[in-house]
Amino acid sequence: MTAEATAWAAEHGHEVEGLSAQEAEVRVRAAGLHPRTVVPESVVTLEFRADRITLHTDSDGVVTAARPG
Amino acid sequence: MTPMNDRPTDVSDSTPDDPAGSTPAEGVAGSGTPVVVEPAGSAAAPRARAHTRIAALSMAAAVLLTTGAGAGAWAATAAGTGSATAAIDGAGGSGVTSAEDPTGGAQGFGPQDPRGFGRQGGSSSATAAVDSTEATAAQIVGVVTIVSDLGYEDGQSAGTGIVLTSSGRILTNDHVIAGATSIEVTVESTGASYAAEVVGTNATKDIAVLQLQDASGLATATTASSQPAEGDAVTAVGNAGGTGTLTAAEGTVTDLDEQITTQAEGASAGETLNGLIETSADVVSGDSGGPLKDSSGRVVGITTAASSGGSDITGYAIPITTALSVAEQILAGRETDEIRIGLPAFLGVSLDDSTDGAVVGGALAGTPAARAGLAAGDVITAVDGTPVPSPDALSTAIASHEPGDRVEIAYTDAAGASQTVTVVLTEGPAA
Repeated sequence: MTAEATAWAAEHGHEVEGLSAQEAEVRVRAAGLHPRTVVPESVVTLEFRADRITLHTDSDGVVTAARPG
Repeated sequence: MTPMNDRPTDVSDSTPDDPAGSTPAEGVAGSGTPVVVEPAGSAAAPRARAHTRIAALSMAAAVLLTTGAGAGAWAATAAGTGSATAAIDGAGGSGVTSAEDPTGGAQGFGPQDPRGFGRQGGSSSATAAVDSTEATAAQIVGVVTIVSDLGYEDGQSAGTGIVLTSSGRILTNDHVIAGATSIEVTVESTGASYAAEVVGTNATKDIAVLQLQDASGLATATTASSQPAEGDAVTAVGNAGGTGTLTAAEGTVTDLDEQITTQAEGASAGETLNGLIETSADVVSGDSGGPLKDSSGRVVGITTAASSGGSDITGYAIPITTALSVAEQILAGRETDEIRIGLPAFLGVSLDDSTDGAVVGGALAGTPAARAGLAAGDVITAVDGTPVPSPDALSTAIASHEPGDRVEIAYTDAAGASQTVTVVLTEGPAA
């Protein structure tokens, strides 16, 4: 059940690094996936969503990593 | 349109599959009850809005979470030491205490995954280096992986759970199964998979209890009867990355009695949890619901959340003593403001994000709302004569009912005419 988001993150995740969260969210949605944008030091629950990309951002709202789940 | 709903579910005015809520406490009856909801014909309409939490769904969750936010202050300490087999069934504990290998077990799959399995595989980059290995045979005893079909969201979620009884009672986080229309659980020590039904949930405390269908003879987890101490070595075992392969992340207890508020997502509010164990173990998505074990292999907590984005991961776990206490309340079978037994009632509408009342954005295919002819543009004004001036009010009104209840819905249709219709609420997705 991990294929979708995992495959996308592996193939395209790096492409959204450096983008603003909003820009990255658009790309994730365009891929049919659901973005979860998290800000630094926030706390998130740890269910894995096969259709979700978690976008980690820095204090400027720039994406630093895109992870599946 | 904003997601909001009452609660999802199955359908049929006719016969909802045995409402999960009717599931008796273990030891009283048992199995045979069908799995959780299978939303007949629910595919069409709602799936067009994939990734949008349906009103019914998210409203249900939001209500529960909001209600409980900040309300649950848990006792962070417990007297005594030693271990105890999880005995939480009505029969007085039929569980089989698992023999844990305190050393971490060399008889397992080995400390390193030869494939170089990495947690959070597919990550574009790592803001935090994740340190974990494939779990050993000893570490996976009493641990299950959980996959929930989110029928109204066109998705799946994965998490982890803990075997409480040999007959298949499972402890996990509520958020692992929230929105589920069917649940499959795999006992990782045997590879056997089971359909599971929701015995009950406490969204405020983020605890759920499941019952595996037709399960017997399962090895159970061994739980600690007291909290760990700061500095204690711990290992988090979980379904990291949702791969179905359990991994183990080692760390220490870095603090106790911690409070967190998780980040909100979409229409779902964040949750505030208190009395948590803080750990340095690198827990990641998929680990929720899994055991945090001490150096003797006893479960001391349930992995629930983690910080994000930093150079180090900080994990948070609900103390097992707290979790078992909540589970016992669920198994007592009495609903409270926090505890729901079985699945929630479900009308099946998505609601617009409007301040002009409960404006229907759409009726989910196969639901009571659809059968009643509710459609986009209708404004629901009352439930059983009680005004519902907002989406929240509608959600609350539906949540006060049980699946199978017959309720009168008053609404103003798109042409401005007042209408009433009587519907039979069905089971919703887990909330």
